[in-house]
Amino acid sequence: MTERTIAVDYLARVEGEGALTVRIQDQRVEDVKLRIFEPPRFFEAFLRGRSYLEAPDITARICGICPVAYQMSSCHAMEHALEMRVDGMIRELRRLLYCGEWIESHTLHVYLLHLPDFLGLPDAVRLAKDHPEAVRRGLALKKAGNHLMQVLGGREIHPINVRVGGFYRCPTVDELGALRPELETALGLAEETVRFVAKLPLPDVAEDYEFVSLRHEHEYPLNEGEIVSSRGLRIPVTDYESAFEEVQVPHSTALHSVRKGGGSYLVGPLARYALNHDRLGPRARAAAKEAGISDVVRNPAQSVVVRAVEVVYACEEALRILDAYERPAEPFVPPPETRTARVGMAATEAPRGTLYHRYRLDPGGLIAEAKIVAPTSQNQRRIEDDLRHVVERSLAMDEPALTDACERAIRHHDPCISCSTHFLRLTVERS
Amino acid sequence: MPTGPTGRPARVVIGVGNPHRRDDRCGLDVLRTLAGRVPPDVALFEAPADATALLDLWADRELAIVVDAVRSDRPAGTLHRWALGEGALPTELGGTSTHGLGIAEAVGLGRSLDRLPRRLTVLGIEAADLGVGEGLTPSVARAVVGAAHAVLRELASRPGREA
Repeated sequence: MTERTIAVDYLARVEGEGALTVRIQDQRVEDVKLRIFEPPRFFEAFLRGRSYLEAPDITARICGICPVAYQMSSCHAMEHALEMRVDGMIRELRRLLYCGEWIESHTLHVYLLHLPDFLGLPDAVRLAKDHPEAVRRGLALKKAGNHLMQVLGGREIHPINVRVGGFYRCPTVDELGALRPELETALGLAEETVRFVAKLPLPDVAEDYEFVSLRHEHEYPLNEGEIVSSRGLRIPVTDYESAFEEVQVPHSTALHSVRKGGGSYLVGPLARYALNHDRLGPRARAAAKEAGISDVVRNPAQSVVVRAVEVVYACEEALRILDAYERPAEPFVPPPETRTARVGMAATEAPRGTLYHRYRLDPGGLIAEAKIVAPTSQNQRRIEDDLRHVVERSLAMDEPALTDACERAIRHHDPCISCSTHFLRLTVERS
Repeated sequence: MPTGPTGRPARVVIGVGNPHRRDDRCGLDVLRTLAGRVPPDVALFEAPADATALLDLWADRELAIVVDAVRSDRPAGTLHRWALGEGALPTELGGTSTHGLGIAEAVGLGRSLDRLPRRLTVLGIEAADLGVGEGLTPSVARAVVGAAHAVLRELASRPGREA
């Protein structure tokens, strides 16, 4: 009997810290464990006793890459609890801010984290040496997202202008209009990015995913919609916990999220695209068609193309909002006084997938309980499934090659492990 | 925030950290200590330890000083310093990274893409507790004052002629 253990003690180019152990016995994959060390769950405890108004700013600090997602899910959840309706231009401005985050986050992943894998390079620093023009294009594109965040969020990183009910200050028409030339350039750069990544030598694999994302009546989903799946699930966000549950696993400080009575599922760009490609704007649809990707993409490596298509969408959607913008009379809808205990929940589409928040408020408006289900904790079990298949296909590989294949499989899903709970270590045990 | 006469200030101090992760916030506290006490050509910025954000913040500047929490085997509150031209950035000053791209990668990318400031100093404060919560470890809180003075000394020092 031979047993092999593959161990990655530190996974590069993902957000956070974690480790991976794979146990192989007699050429069979016995066990795959994606272990996550950092306990983000403390944030949920940390929120207790804080005013509901503080949730957007506190939860934004869970992640340096997708703070807007945390702000949006927490604002919408509080507004649900307080029975508030926020629409019109404030709603549009929220979509615009989210577009900025998608541009920033996806571009970072496509160019600096994912691209080295397809070009046989170890990291972004080497990529910048060998392909400086590509990295410059990526940085210029990302900067357009940063500028959106700066103008609308008050600053580029960790926006401070978001509040329950809307914004502390809405930009003037001229302030937003000044972003137009850069966003037009960004749209072109985004289309160029799709053409560039579509030509990459991608591995030809397909996984049988249950895709889960929001779906909205008219829009490619960002802030609102029903929760739908590729296997027929269709529920309001308020029923999220009836369809999905979090289970504890000993090897991870992140909870695994699974379909109740079922197994793993996938959130994120592949899921959103499969379930909402008909809601993309014309430029993004044209870019997807030119890239030759089908309406449902089951190849995790092709997520690099789908992310690039979503960046095209974020740029064209941002331009649409900019062109129709009129400064609202008030920057926010004032929340009503809180006198009774309330519960509110919401889900929005973070760059990495559906981000669910639920809060219970006491009569004084203090947070009595918080539940945050991050995209990566939802994808964790599905990533383990992908890894099992990668190892099964690659049993003949030596340890360094197998380890590399595993790390790539994880990076396809751009996991934000520090959201879900910091970085990966791989252990392969072979026997 | 002080700005220079030509729009983009020539010098920048960048504080890195998360205010809700105890000692990790010390870089931000150094910025707060410095507010109103720096010359008008110095801008103060808060940033995550994210390479691309750092590139944007420090490119084309005369001087950039980055202040961050670090973990090594030194006592809590120990002040670490590295400057461009002193060889490789020590591992402990590489930054707790966002998506694997921290201060070390920012320096590497900056070199390849010609996006480094003319002078760059990284100051690290040895942290003890990076858990979720608020409030600094006492020795780290004392080091914040020392680091702010170190930044002011860096700002007051005349750059040597560079070849």
